[in-house]
Amino acid sequence: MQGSLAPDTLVVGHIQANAAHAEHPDHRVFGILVFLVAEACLFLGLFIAYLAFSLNSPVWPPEGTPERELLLPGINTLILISSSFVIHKAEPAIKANNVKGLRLWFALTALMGAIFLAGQIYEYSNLEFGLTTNLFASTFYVLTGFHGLHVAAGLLFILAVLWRSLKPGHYSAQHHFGVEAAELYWHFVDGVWIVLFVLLYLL
Amino acid sequence: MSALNNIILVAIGILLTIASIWYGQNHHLLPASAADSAPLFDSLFNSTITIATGIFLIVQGVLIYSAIRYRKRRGDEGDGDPNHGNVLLEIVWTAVPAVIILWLGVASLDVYQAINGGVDVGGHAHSGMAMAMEASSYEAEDPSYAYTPVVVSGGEVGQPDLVVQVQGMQYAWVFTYPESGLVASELHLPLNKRVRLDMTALDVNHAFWVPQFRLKQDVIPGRETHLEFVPSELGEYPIVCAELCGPYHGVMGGQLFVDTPEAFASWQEEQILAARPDSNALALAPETQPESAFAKAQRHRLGIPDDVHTLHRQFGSQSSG
Amino acid sequence: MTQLQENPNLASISPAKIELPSEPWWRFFTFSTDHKVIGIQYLVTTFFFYLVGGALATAVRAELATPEADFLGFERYNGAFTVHATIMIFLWIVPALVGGFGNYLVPLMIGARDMAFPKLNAVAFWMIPPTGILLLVSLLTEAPAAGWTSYPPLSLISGKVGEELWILSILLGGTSSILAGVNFFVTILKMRMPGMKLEDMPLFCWAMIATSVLTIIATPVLAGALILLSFDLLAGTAFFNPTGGGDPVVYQHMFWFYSHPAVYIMILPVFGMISEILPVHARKPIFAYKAIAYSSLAICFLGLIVWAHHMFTSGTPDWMRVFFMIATMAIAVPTGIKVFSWLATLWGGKIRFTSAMLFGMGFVSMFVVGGLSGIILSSVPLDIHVHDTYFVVAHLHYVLFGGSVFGIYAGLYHWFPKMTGRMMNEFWGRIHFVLTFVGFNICFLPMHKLGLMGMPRRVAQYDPQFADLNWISSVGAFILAISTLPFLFNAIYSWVAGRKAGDNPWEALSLEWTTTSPPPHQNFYGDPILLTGPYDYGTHSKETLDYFASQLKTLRELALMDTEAPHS
Repeated sequence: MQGSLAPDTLVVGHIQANAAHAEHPDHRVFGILVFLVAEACLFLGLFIAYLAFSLNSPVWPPEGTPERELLLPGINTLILISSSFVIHKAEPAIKANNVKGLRLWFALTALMGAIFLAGQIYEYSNLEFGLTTNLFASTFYVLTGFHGLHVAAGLLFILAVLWRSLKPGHYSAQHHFGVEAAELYWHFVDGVWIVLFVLLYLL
Repeated sequence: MSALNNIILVAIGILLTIASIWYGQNHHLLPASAADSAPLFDSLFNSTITIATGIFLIVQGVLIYSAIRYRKRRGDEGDGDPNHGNVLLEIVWTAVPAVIILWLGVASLDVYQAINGGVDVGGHAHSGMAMAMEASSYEAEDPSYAYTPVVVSGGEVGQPDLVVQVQGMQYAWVFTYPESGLVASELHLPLNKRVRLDMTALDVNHAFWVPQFRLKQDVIPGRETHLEFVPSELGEYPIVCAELCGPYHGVMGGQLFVDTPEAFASWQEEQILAARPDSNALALAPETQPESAFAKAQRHRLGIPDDVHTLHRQFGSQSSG
Repeated sequence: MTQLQENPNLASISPAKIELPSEPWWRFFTFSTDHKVIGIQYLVTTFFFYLVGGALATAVRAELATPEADFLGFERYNGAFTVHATIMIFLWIVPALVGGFGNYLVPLMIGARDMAFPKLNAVAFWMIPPTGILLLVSLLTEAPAAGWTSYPPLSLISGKVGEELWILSILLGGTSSILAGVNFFVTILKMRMPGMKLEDMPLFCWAMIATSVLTIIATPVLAGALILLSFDLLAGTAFFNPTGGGDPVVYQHMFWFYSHPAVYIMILPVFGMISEILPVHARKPIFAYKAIAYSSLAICFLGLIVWAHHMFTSGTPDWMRVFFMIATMAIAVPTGIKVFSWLATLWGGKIRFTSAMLFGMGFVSMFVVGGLSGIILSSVPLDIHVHDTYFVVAHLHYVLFGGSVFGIYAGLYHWFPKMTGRMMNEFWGRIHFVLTFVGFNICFLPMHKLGLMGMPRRVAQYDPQFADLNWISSVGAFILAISTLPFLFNAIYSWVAGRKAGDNPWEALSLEWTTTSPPPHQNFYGDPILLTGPYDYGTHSKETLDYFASQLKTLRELALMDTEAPHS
């Protein structure tokens, strides 16, 4: 009975027939998303630790913590949030094969990110408390600093995409993983900042 | 299935039950018990061991039986029975553990409430009112409850007859009796009196454990934790530090003596006499410890505004003579 | 017989040509992106660390053979058990299971050519050696001595250098495992061969999904805790230091939020492997496939909400104790489903007592003991007595040694022929099993009683009343130490000169056995073909299976000819 089975009918239950091994499939965007979930958990852990510290203390921030100014961080927040909208413009641009548009929006985002970082450094240098002043000060510096590192990384990422876009044909309507990844990462960094801002400045 | 098989199965079931119950009562895995909540622990532990023994015997029995009965015979290269599921069986072995777990959860909860009396170990003790209510709701529960509540010979739960301050440090315990201001390195407790320990650590985490009481509580710097119990057997018991606290963690121990009320009183008197001037039993002046630094910061939160403070004064004045 | 064999081209193929080019040895020392090379790199590296961790364990047990601290001394003893635990968890069980077996098996089992991100995969592996080096260096300077849990404030005052090296080492290892987790998650969800639904996957892949989810969610929180701890240690902040208003209990929550799921990271892949190994050697389909698959996901979910059961005595509020007790007990249900399903898989089989099967059945037997002592630990009033005692040490070793390590051995015996193309020696395999099984139980069974009677864990010196049981336990540990020797020599000898295995020495049905041993670079010749389900034992006649095998061989020959044609 086996004799009747030709190789192309070698099927018991399930089969696949066509050649699919020519190209390594690209799942990088999905990979970035999963990685960002892990990153989010890192920040989530730190946020919850912050909440635990604040709920454990009778007064929070502890007595003697100097008042924080809201104006500069507020402006900084607005800049960072708007940069998320700016970078979002880049994707339709590259999908229309408009590399110039991509460069424009990415350069603008990079500029806004740099302003945010500069503002952050300016704020650090003018704060009246240091890393070890008290528990609030420590959490403040570690959380904002850790986020700042992520902004810096995102900025480098954006600059790298800009650099690569100089090479003609590197990004096209079909192939622009770097653009998507940089954008996703930037949105993530932005989202984290919103939570951070609410926790550290507003609550 | 033949009648013979049924009889064998029933016989195995009876044997298993007998073996499990026997082991549950005769495991000799616990030291003597010396607090009045310890029998609650023992009874829950014995029941759990009984069930665990039953499950253990069933699993290992099936494993060994299969290994013998279903071993590959010489020359047989075939496959086994292609049976790959049985919904009824699967429901049974999901439901039965679920029921056991539910029982254990409820029983544990009851025992926990009875042992702990609802004292929130993490922070402050509940108010007497709340305590009384919890206690009564507990008694009003199912009358067929397996763990008959032990009649508490000491005071009401949450209203101890004696409070002792416990301080853990590398590598010793210090016990302070606030009423008399006595500071000692061993813990003496009167028989059948409800005792509450207010515990804190001076340096790193420790844990206060008396195996014969079946009670343990971490002792943490910067916060006060509590234990409440009624010692029910006269004798001397080890106090074990159960949380890693440094290289000499294993050496950190202490003695707990359960005395008759008379012996307890006379011990206290002796100690107070001995602690007069030139006694060096109190070499550990509190000022040299980091405790006071964070105690100040934490005192407000812990809701123990003055105790620690006055204590230190007593402590200090005695040591300075 | 078949049309294929009448194909004139085939006649010209000599058998030698079908022989596979095996990996040259030096490839295992390079930045290879082949998941099979990486898998073996992981397994060999981690086995080395297992030996180091085992040597430390032997030293610890030598210290405990007598009540006095007379072998290592107090300080070195703490360093030894801290590094022992850290190595066994972060450099042996986690990377051996996830990195080693996960890497080797997942792409083969789902019919993929490689992992989704091969370069990332290699990066994740090459983080493991520095992780180990940092930890071993700390042993030479001042070993971290606050236990693998590294609770502050103790960890903040017991030696800065060792502690910081420990933190860096864990951060590096943690990053590696997050990267691996992302890779597995994407690979299993996106790279399955066409036509393979999730429910056609071998159960190991289900377990790996659950493991990756745990890794991705929980590991970053540990990283957060260690970063804060690092600041406390080096920069003088006081996150966990009560002297500055911090709270050491917050660390414990963050630590266990990772480290309890870590227990499942260390056992779920083993559950998966056992679900592969038992059916093959019992010649029976796995019993209740879906129940086993979904129970992995249930364990994954529940595993994330039980962490505070490690903190029942930490001054945890009542409501938390009760919640975490109930959640913890609930895990017994999906775990029970697995155990009973494995037993039902054996029932009515034709069990072949290979070394892999012995370790597989040994796993079931020992894991159940660990599960039952876990039930005792989950109950708050019972845990209050046994927490931080030798009872816990017994429990965790029944789960992590009797469970995970037995499982790893079972996996090594089972897939060694696939990985190397050669069989391991069965006689020495059995000796290895008997020594391990006996030594293990002599070593760890008495610890249950020690803990219940009043012996705390992590002590160099103990009450002389515990001397006898400790001495027995130490004898068991030495037997256990010796038991690795037959395995080591067997593995090395068999790798070089073992009997040739052929494609499918166990007559197994999952996809990895349809290719050669070892498989070629892209895993399959031509495209992988699902001829049977992974557990269809007993449903196909031997003739049918032989026919399938011959057809596969023919297809492979055709594929090889295709690739060689342009050159000739």
